[in-house]
Amino acid sequence: MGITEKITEKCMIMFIHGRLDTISSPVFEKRLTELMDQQFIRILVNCSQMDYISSSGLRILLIALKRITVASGKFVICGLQENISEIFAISGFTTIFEILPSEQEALMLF
Amino acid sequence: MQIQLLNRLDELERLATAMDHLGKDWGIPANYIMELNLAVEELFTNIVFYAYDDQEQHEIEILFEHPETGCILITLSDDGKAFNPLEKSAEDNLNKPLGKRKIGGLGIHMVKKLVSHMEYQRKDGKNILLLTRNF
Repeated sequence: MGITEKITEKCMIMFIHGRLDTISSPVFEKRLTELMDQQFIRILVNCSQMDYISSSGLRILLIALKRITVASGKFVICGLQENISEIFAISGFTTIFEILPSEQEALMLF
Repeated sequence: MQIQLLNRLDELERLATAMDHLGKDWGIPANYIMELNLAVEELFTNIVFYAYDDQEQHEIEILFEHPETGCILITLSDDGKAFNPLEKSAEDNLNKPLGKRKIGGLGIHMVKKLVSHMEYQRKDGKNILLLTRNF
């Protein structure tokens, strides 16, 4: 798993590459926590290059969404691959997250 | 195919590689392999985190079978504490709004959704979990 970041005027965009599994999730959690600690509370997670996610990865997204919602920020997800989208659906995540197909569409929410 | 994993999280890498090979050998589409890998990862992770109170090394055995087209059987055995994942349900939690949603408890729920059938046995001091996935 790799993370790259891009700061735009509207928000911080995090790109996740590869597998967000039980082994790599703590790395993502650490970085996301650092960003939130630094008051980045407008975050877009671009998952178009992410081809696997386990419950440990989903858990981190949920923690971030809760924290950012309380802080009146915005946390949006975009670019889910088809099979990943299925995993979000069976986990009941599609009803609580704002999930957009493309980065362009997601940026309109900020 | 059979694989023995130690009760350490870094074994997940070996699991993923083995399942990729299996998919290619058996001609199973990558998205099914991904889903099955996910189901096994969730169960394996649970075993590593919760099955053992000691600090010893344990072996978790996973057997993959492909008895007929469109069917995969996976059997996981571990010598940890008795644990029947079928008794656990996170379903209620998943219908709750964000503020009330608990962090965690998701893994087993995902497994149930990802396989067609699940059967648990406690035999000779081992947890034996049989997963069937039809596609």
